[in-house]
Amino acid sequence: MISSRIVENLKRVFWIIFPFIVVILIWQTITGLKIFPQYLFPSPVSVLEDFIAKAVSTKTLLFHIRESLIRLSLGYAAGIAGGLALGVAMGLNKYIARFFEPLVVFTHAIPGITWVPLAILWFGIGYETVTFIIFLSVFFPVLYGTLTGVKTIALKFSNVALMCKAKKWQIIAYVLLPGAMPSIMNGIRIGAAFGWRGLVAAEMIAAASGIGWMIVDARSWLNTETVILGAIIIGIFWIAIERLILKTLEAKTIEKWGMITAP
Amino acid sequence: MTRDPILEVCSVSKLFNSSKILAIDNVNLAVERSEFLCILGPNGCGKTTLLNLIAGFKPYFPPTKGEISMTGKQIKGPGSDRVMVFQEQTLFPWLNVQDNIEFGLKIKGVPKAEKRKVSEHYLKLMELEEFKDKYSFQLSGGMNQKVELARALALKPEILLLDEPFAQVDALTRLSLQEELLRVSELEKRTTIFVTHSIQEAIFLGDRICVMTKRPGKIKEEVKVEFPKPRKWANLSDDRRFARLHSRLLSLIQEGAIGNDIK
Repeated sequence: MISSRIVENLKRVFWIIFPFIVVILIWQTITGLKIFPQYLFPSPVSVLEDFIAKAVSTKTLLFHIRESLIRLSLGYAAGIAGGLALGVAMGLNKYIARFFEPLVVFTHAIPGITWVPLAILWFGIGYETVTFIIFLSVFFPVLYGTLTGVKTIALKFSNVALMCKAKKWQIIAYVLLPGAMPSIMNGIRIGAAFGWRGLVAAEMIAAASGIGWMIVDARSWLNTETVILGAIIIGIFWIAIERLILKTLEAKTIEKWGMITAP
Repeated sequence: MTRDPILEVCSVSKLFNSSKILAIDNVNLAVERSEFLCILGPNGCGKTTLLNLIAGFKPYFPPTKGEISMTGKQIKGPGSDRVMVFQEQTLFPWLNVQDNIEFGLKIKGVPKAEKRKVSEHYLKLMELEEFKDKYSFQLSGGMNQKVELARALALKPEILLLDEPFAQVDALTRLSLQEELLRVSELEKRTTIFVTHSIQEAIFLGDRICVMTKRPGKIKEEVKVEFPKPRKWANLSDDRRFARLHSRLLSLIQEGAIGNDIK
């Protein structure tokens, strides 16, 4: 029994890694043919060398990753908290909903990147601007997710709480938020993806550190290896966020509660 | 007739403004302490409306006319002195069985040790101990209803309101749940109002049965059930008096229905 589970897991890991190996082999073969100049189309090996140099020798890569992750955490935390708070408020109070709805629709229509020049004027180059852009990317999906979740939660659940003489905050904390979880999780998922893209984009324009900045900086020095390395790191980190954080969060909440079916 | 009513419904009518439907019309009812009262009637006779009015739930509450009072005091909304078990499933999917049973106590701020004591008692009483860590979606329909009942009882309400709690489970499970309910209610001597459209169920459970006519709902007749408690299906099902009472109640319901259709 156990051995068959190990085989199952190995198979799963294989099917995640195998496609990438194929792509890397094709990539290596093409660069070996020397059709394109090395400085524009570096080989996987030279990207790996660049990785080792930056990760082990100078550790600049770790610095940039840390910078990006700190901004990301701040932006995610602020965006999720803000989206939850306004979503619950709008879901519970029709006057708050009426007041904010047009404003939210209007603001949501403006692409995140449009805010960058304004944010630079307000906050300058660095942490605040990038975090602000991530905040905006996460805020709206979480807001809409929460709003839908709170509005569609069955009256019967609130009635049970009312019967127990629950106070407003207790209804919010113990009934509305867990009940709205499937829809909130959906919002967090979309928001996290937007936020991750927003991070890289904002760092390219409005920062002097971070993965986004590392890519732009490398381009100006014609370090194509580093540009590609940056792109790979963005992809790998997103997979890590998705698998380790989002999936775990889902498994511990809505999946465990039977509110969605496990894949 | 009733000397010490715990609950009095005086000339209560309910007209739903949105649909202009007069759901119940001039209902008078007095429930004695420790009494098991069944309200029997066909679908749409307003029995659920009556129960929700007693529970104090919107949009049923308040009544258009009349007054409902508990131990002499007019009721103003939902409260933990009147706890309802609903027809549909209302266990919180995000709490396991034990936490569901403890929900109302948590809202009331009962200390943890005390909460555990109460929930353990009801887990044992309802024979749910081995399921205490399970979530609602992992239980059968009948098991879910048992947990609903345990959750309601844990609040120690003055009156237990049951809105066709066994309507969604299969016939065999229903019989055993009815016996179980009777056993627990004999043990606790809790005042109970049980709404049903099943004549057998009403006879088996009730000390008294109020027969309601079709819309607008009125109480057509009150019938005392003289079978001694504890009752068992095995002893009652071929009792002659059971059959006679059954056919009397059936004709009462049918008269009511026909009368209304002609009008």
